[in-house]
Amino acid sequence: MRTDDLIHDLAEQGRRVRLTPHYVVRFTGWAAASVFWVALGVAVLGLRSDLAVEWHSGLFLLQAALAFCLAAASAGLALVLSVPGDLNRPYALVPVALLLAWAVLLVGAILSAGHVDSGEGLHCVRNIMVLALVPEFLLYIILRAAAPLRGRFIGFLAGLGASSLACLATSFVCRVDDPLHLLVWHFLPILSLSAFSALIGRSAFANDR
Amino acid sequence: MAVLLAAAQQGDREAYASFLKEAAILLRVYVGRRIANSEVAEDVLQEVLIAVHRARHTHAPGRPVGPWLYAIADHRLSDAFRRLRRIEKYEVAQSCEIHELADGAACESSDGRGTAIREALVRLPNVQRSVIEMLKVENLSVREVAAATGMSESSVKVTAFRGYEAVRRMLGVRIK
Repeated sequence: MRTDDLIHDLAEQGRRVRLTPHYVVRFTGWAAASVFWVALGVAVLGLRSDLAVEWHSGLFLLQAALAFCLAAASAGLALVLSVPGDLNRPYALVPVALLLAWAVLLVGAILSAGHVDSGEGLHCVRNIMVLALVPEFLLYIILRAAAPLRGRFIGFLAGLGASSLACLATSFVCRVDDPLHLLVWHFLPILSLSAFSALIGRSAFANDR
Repeated sequence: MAVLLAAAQQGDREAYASFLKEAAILLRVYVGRRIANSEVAEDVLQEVLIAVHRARHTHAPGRPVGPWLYAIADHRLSDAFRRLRRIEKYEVAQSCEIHELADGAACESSDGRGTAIREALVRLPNVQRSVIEMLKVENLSVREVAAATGMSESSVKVTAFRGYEAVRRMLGVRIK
């Protein structure tokens, strides 16, 4: 097909389109729905009884702050990247830096602790997966409505955002504060879910879009 | 261009056609600087235009079109480079031989390989033979072959690749 013919065909299909809202608007919508979902999840699962004590623990607060920032930065960046040409490259490193900081925090806590025990934490993994499900699904819908070009990376960011938020919520449920438990049963599932999300993102945001 | 695109987003087809024509002029230069083969460059340009069409709702009116347009073009170019590398990896050796078919007389006079290739092609299934002939003898693009045969572009590539493998097996050429 000649390019002029293609242009003619495309112009013929040039119906009025609904513009993609600004990423702040999309982020706000996603965050509101996701926070509602995880709050509901925490209410159903039950707040940990020692939350008042933990609220003064440095590790708990730092971890919660990192999870919150990681969720916001990853989801926000995924939304920014879903519009071609909106990438400011240094920002792409923010989620990676936060992830590294979180890992360093946990490894440091493990090394400084006298005795660590990861315990059994499959229920934490289950909680993270269930709590991440709706935020991830919503984010995928919002992202697909735009025009994400780098499917794998955007899928990874979507997974990171949703699972970090779910991990933050899980920390309000799980009573185990052992750093090894947090690394194995809270942090590593985030990485696994993000990697899985990257695989899905490759096809969900396929190149034919 | 931003004004034309904004009008196109509102459903103005004439403005959209003008926008696409202007974009094609810019993109032809942009793609042409990166891909030497003009036929491949034109294919990539068309892919970029289709991607622009699919992403036209994401451009925010009032913002410059350039970064948006070239981001889409860069992405399509990356895809094209990856695809070309993958195709070249498998096609370099065979395409030389098949191209010799178009130059049949010269090949036969040197080592008779043209005849061997022709005989091998005759033994191929009809679909594979016709796809290879259209690609390598008639010099049609993958897109044109897909349009002519009613196959998808991916199917054309796969069919051609399998045909090349079969020809090489018949000629006793070791497959890398």
